[in-house]
Amino acid sequence: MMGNTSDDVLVGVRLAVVIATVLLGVLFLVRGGALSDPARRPAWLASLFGLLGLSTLDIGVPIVVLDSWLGGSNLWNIMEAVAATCSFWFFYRAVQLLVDEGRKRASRLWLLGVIVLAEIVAFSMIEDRGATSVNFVGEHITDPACFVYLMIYIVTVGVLSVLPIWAARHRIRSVFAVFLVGYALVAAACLSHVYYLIAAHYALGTPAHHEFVRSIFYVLFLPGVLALVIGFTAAYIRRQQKKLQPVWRMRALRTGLILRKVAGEGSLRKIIGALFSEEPRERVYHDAVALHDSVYRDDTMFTSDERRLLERINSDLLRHIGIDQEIASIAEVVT
Amino acid sequence: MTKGLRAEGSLSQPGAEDLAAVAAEMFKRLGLEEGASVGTILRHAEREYGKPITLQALPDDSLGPLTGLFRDTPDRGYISFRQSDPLSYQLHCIFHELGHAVFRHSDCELLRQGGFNLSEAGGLGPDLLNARARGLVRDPSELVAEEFAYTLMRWLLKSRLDREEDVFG
Repeated sequence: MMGNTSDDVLVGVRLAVVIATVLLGVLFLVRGGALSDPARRPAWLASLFGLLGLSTLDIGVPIVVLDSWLGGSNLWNIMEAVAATCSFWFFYRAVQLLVDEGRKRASRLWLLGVIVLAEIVAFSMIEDRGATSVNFVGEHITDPACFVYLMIYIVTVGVLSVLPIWAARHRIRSVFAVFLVGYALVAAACLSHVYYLIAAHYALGTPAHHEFVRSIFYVLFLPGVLALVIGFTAAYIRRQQKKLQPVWRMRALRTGLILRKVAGEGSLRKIIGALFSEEPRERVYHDAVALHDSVYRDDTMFTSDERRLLERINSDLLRHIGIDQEIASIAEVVT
Repeated sequence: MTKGLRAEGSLSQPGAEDLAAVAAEMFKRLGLEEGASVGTILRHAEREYGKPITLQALPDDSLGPLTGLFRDTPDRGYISFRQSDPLSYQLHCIFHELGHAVFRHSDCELLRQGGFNLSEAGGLGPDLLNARARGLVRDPSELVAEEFAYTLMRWLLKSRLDREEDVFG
């Protein structure tokens, strides 16, 4: 189904699909709670439809098997189109939420409904869809209904790839830089596919030329999807790092134990409880203040390991607050 | 701030909820916005205090057993802290003394009664070297100031999600 792509490129594209599917599957599962959060829900829906779309690429699940579940009349193809349309719709909706920062904007789900309905109606008008075929598009592109159906699908996905780039043009940084790469590839893929659809439908050029142009779509589109999924995954990992703070949890355990050793403060249960603290960074700060107090109060001496830990805590706390040099710059130094 | 204040003035004290409520109310009154720098916090505190505040980094021997000191004078307040302390600890001590300023606590009664010199370049003078100010740790004003420092620091240290982490995370 990926045309006459060379073996090396094909392996790369297939690898992109496998990685994107695995990442998206994990995101779909671990972000299950996002369904009840209006800010996180669109990205979760995008992952759900993205998984459905990726499952139609004859990788992992053979098309023949998938289509047999759907009735065996190439419904896998409309499933791919609808799933991709919905996935890109909700991903764009997530980008809008990101860019708008709290401003309300209508979700226009009715428009998605109209587009999906148009795809389904056009697809259903294709004459004699025949038995399951991985080359369904190539075999039916001369049918006007198939041409209209695919144009609606590809132009919609193309537009949904350009709109986010425009919406976020003023904040191309961090995760958005990765999204930009993904969206640019997908938009270019859609453009190439529009050319293919026109050329193939109106029989412009040779079949070999058509196949070559068609293969360009997959070579651009699937790495583009992978880039979007990687950006999505990076945002998720960063959120978890901030929420879980694994380093600060271990530090909370260590400072708790040191405090117990030097000042006799805290039960073991309370110290172990630090591992599950809601804000372990705060807990460490609290303990660090107590440890510095104990230096003045009890002339406490720390081991070199403990000193290094306190130094790292000090510098990481300052980095989090972002005030490295500020006190020095606003305070008078009295000698 | 005096030695050992945190050990005795932590949230495990009776009345800790009252302290937290008082500190939280004052924090709210400061009207700080996310991303506020120490300078901004200082300016908001000056508005509440009604006078400018000068931060002074002192050599360790100037403060004797103290880790921070707030002095209220007719035209400005002074917050002194130790130069050699780790910066995050300095910040805690500064916020503690800032608590005294915004709550308009008078400066250290015990030290005044002891006849210590509170005007010497922001320090306390040599007379204080052997002073033990531990009597202050149960002073409600010290406990409120300490809780205020924790409230400010907790706010600064809180995890904040970027918008993209909120939407895609």
